[in-house]
Amino acid sequence: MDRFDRHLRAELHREFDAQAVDTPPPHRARYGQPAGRRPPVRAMALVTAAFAIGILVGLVYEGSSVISLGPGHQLGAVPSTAPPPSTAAGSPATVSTASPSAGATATVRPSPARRPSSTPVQPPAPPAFSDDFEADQVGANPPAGWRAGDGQWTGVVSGSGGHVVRHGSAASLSHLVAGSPQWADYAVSADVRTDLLDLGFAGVAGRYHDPRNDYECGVTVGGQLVLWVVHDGDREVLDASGVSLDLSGDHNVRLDMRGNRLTCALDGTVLLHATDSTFSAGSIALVASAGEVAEFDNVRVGG
Amino acid sequence: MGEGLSGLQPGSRQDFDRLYLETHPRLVRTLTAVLGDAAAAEDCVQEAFVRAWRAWPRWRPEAPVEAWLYRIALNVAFSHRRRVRLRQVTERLLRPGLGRTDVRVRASPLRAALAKLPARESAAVMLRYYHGYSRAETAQILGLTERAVSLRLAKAQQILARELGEDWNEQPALHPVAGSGVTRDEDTIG
Repeated sequence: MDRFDRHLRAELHREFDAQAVDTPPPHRARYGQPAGRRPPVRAMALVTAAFAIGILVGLVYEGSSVISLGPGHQLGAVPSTAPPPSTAAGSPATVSTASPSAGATATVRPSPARRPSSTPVQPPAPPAFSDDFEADQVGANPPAGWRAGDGQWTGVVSGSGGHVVRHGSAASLSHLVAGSPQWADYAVSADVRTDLLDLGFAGVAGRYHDPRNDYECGVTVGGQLVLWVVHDGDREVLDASGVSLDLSGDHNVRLDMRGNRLTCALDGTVLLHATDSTFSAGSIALVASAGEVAEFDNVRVGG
Repeated sequence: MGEGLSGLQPGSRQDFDRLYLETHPRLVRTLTAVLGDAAAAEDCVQEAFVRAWRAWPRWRPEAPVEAWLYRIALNVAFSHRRRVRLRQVTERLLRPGLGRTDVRVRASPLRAALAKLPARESAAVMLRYYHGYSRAETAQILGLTERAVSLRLAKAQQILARELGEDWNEQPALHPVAGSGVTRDEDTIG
């Protein structure tokens, strides 16, 4: 070992041993609940979100009996604020957020006394979904929680930074779909590896109904970001960036939909704006045009 | 590697807590060197533990647990660093003169030099010289061959020497090498 190595070791210890690291105790470490076998957090989040809505409904319903409403009161007349402490104590609902960057992962323990109710009193929670494909085996096609809307996907492959999902060069225009058709206002984003693009585009789709009906935001081989509405198979450009971009490596493409307002961002910078009312809700999809090798990673959906 | 972490059972909450307590500070320090940003390092380690916890039921006991965890954390850090740099490039292209420069407040010369290394080189330096992993263990964590680790360490040494100055290693060390986990073999890079 030469002198430089020894000096480097000593200086690294001097530098980093002194770095204070706040290690929260395990009960406060926010790594959430184990996923167990696939499907993991995605399905868990949906199930627990359903539990959460059910609990809220149940609490309101229980609350109505605890506070002894008169015979003329209806469920809808109960304030939708937090239940009284006595009710909350009898209905433990613990909600933990895993990581801000990992998306909201709600884990809720339902109340044993919860009463079933089919009457929704809360608006649907904003969708929360994320997938980095690390839990999928290489070769998984489609990845767990996804389905091929059309075309053909190569499936999960091992990329330079971990597992990614790939669209192969032999495939036609393809959509890989996840999420709920009930999702309305949300943003979907994904890291898209674009340096393999040949002639077409790759990106994300929102309010997806079927391969011929959705909104799509993608990067093109021309180095542009484009926002489309695809209606009955007709593809119309709503907005496009006029700036050529360096397309080597990965880029984060994000499509945000709020009512009839649509925006599209590249690497955190909103470049495109449009107003369109063709679709009000729908699933998400990864999309790649015919013959394009494209890889996708770190898909996120948030409210 | 991870001598204090034997007997872990996949899926066990108690064992994962042990793993977390044992490795969290080391991971944060390693990622601080890779990212040049302690806050970003803590965020990435947090993200790494979320991912590791999801995969914990499927961890195989025959795989070295610390190598597995380092690999997850470094992949998160590499992705983070790539995203930050791409965002900076895009901002500079779109708004020349307004793109954020890579500012690091009060970085020591060593930290500043580490931040100039490619991510995998700085990771290799930390694993090998700070944590004292052998070359084979470092290769396992980084998913490289031992030869590739040697080449990366040699490249890192060249860059560090250039950034810190040729006479940097002539200065007296201000702190003795900590004994814990530091290999004492006399192998050289290359």
